[in-house]
Amino acid sequence: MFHIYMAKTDASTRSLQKGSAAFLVLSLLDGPDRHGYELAQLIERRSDGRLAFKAATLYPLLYKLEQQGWVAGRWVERAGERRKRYYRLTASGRRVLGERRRIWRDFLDALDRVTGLRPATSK
Amino acid sequence: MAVNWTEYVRARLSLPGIAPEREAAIVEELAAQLEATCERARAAGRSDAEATAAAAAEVPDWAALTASLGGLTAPARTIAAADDPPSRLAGLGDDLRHAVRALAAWRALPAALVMLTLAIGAILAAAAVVDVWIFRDTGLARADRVVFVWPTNHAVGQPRDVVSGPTFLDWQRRTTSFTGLAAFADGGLTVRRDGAADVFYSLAVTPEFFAVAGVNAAVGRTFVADDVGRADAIVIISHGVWQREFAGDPAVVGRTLSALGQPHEVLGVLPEGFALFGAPDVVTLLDPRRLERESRSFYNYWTIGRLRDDRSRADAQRDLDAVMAALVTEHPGMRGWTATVTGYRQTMAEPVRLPAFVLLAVAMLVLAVGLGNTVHLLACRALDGRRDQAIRAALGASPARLRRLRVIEGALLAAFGGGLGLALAAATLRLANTLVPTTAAIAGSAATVALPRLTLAGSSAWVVSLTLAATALLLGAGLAGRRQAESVAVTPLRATSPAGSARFTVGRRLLLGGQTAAATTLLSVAALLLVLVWRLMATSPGFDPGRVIAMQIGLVGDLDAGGRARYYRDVVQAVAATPGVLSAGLNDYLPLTNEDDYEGIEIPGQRHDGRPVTREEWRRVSAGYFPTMGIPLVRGRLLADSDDERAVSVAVVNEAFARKYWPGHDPVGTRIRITSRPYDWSEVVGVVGDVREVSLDQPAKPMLFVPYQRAPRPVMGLFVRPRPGAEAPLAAIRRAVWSVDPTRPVVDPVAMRRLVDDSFAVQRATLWGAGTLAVLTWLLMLGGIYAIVAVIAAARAPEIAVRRALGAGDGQVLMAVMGAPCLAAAAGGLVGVGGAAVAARLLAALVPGMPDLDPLTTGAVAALVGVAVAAACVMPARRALAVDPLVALRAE
Repeated sequence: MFHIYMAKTDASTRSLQKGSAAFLVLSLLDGPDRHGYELAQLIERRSDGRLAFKAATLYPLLYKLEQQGWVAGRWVERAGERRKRYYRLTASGRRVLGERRRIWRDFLDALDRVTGLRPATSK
Repeated sequence: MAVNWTEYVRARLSLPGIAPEREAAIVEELAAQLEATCERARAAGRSDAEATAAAAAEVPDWAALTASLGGLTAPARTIAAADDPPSRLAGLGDDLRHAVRALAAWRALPAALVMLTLAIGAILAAAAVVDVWIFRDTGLARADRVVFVWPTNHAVGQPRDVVSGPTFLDWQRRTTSFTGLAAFADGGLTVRRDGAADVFYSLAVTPEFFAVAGVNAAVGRTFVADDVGRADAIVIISHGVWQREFAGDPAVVGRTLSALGQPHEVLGVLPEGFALFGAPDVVTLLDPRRLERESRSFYNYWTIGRLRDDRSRADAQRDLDAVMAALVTEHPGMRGWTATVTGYRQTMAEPVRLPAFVLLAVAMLVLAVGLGNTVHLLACRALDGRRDQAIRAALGASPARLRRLRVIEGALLAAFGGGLGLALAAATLRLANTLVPTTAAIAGSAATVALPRLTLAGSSAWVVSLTLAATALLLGAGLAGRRQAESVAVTPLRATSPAGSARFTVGRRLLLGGQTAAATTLLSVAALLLVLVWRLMATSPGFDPGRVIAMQIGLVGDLDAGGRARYYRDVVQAVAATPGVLSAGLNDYLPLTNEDDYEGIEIPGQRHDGRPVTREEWRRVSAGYFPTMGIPLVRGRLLADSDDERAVSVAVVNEAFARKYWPGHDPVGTRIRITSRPYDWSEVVGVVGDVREVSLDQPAKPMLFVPYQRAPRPVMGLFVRPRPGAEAPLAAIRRAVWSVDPTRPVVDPVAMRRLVDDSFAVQRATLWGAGTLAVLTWLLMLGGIYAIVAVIAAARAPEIAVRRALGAGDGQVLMAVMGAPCLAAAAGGLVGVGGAAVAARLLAALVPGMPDLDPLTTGAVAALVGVAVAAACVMPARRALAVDPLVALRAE
């Protein structure tokens, strides 16, 4: 199941929530190439288990991002292991990620100013 | 109870709209995730059932997942969006980026770029040399119809002489093959300005000259027949003189240039860059009536002609043969003479044609070696990249897409290699311009052509085409090699150590052998050229150039013989008395400048072809000439200052002359007749050593020396030897010359050493070119062999490991790695020696003094090639010896 636990927002910010799953995946791929299971594990670990991506959510999302040209996957084989598909950010994916980061930063700033909520510090 | 997760997923997920390969990939990826979840749960201590349930919970609703994946709707190819775009051009940017990254990550990229750069640079530079020197724009309209006509007499060593005025006029009247024939002669004209004299290089031409040459004036007009009446009062000036003397005045026509003390009206300006045998400053008109009055034995004019459109060069040759046969009957003095017709373009390119084509041939070999190496490198790249290709193919990348990636990579390589090759060629030509001479002599004649500077600018279409074709060939062959290598195993996903790379295939055998053969041939040719240049350097010109300075002085055409003699005597005395000067002397020509001057000579009791008079080279010299030049006295005495116009006429001959006419006898005391009037009967008073007047690779000609005082030429060469340890006192020499007459110029001072060096500059430049390319080929061969042996050694590591494990010794391992390559190299070397023998024979037929291929040269080249082969094998062999059986087998 795909759960995102966060404060309820008004209708105007709902679109931001919708995009947050893609935002998470893109953020995690802004670094070394990762395979699907690794992505799911990272999201779970870094959110202290509050965010969890199941396969049923993760793979359609990855394939969609791939179709949009934001990530690219490639099969990698290692001795003694099942082969894995690693994903990396494409240049357009990197542009999209930058854009999303700016939108989220503005959104959280706005939330902070309006509600006195401090932006969560990153772990 | 282990669940087969792949079966599990496949049973639940159905994606009918998606290509089977793509569906399989999705199934595999999901199954991997479920399996990993299951494993993790198990590792956390959960039971099999709990772990399986945890994995199954990853996809609680298969129908929903199927729907969301189906929502992608796309067939497999569009799912792999980054790999395969829907449109032909889409994804080109990604492919380009991918190609750049892939190339940047390719370890052999520097090697491949070096290979392409050298091959393209070599072929481009050599083609540019051929283009500039052989196919340059002559500036003549329809230059292929223009020919030279030369009087020929092989018996007296004159394949291409100048013609006398009356004979030229006979040619003009009696031949029918030409629209026109023109005579011309060059010389120096004194131009007086502000009381001082300057010298212009002048060309005197008959009225038809410009029509025959097909050259129009850039400003004004050229000569016409009607100008003959005022031939001494008109002149055509060069573009340079127009700029210098008239500041480029567009209204220069009709203005006056003061030459030889008499004003000359400017008729027109030559096109910029006009040159024949040298670029004239001024062109004056020769009055044909003057030619008519000259002696038939006064050989003075070069001849050019323009062929009629309906006549070939062979027709013209037959025409002239008939005319000459008739003339010989009418004038017995012309016996032995024929005429030779040569094409203008071919003749002007003659001095450099052989070096240019040798360079092009050598560059072709470099290209071939580069080609082989590029094919090999790209094939290795393909073998390395097969797994990547296989995955891409499995992910749905179409063959067209994969091809496109390959082509983009190839195009990038071509662009970089081509760009670097272009830069290399430009730099090479700039360097070459400092090595090649500015002029070169046309063999067998007294003519010297100016060599245009080498440049890529304005290259002909064929140079560009050849370079593009070479680049395309390099990459086409490379891509073909790569494709062939890839075709071995694109299908199976599991492509580990490629079997193809382990084999010492026929292709590799040929490549290795071919490179060795090319390097052996080229190194041999370079070695032969080195021996040739070495021998020329070691050849004594017959004089001691030391620090002798030579220059032209005089331009005393306005003085009579007595006045000239006085002027020259005073100059020699003034210069010899200059501090720092050991001695000074005069000779009417400079040795090694491709000038000749023949005179009729009669030796009592000897007949030549039934006639008493023969022709030999003669020089008018001062007494100081021999000691100044260090020409040794062999017998009798040298000329003395007292042997002047008032004394008994005497002469000195060189050893070649003495050998030819008095073999085994001492000629001293013999009287001979010189047909030039003031000399007449003269007594031979001495024999001096031979001087190679024409070039170092030709034996000294028989030569007669007489005192200059009886008939001094209007221009003489002044030779000055500084005292040992003294600075070469050029400024003081100039002052001494001008102390006699400040209006007479000093022209082109040059160190005799430089004239000696320049006399074999073409050979030296060819050695430089061919030598550099030979060393390049040697290095390419070294790199190429290294690459081949390294690939084989790496690919055979598992096999070597097994052999090691079974107790194989170092020798057996080395044999396994190096045996076959060394054998192929040895075979290539043998072929190369054969090639060198053929090349040597070819060059020996074309280049005077070219040495034979001797065992020493062959041995030295073989050693050089052997060292390279051994060096190329050392690293891979050491790696092979260091193979650890366990590591190698585990990697497999």
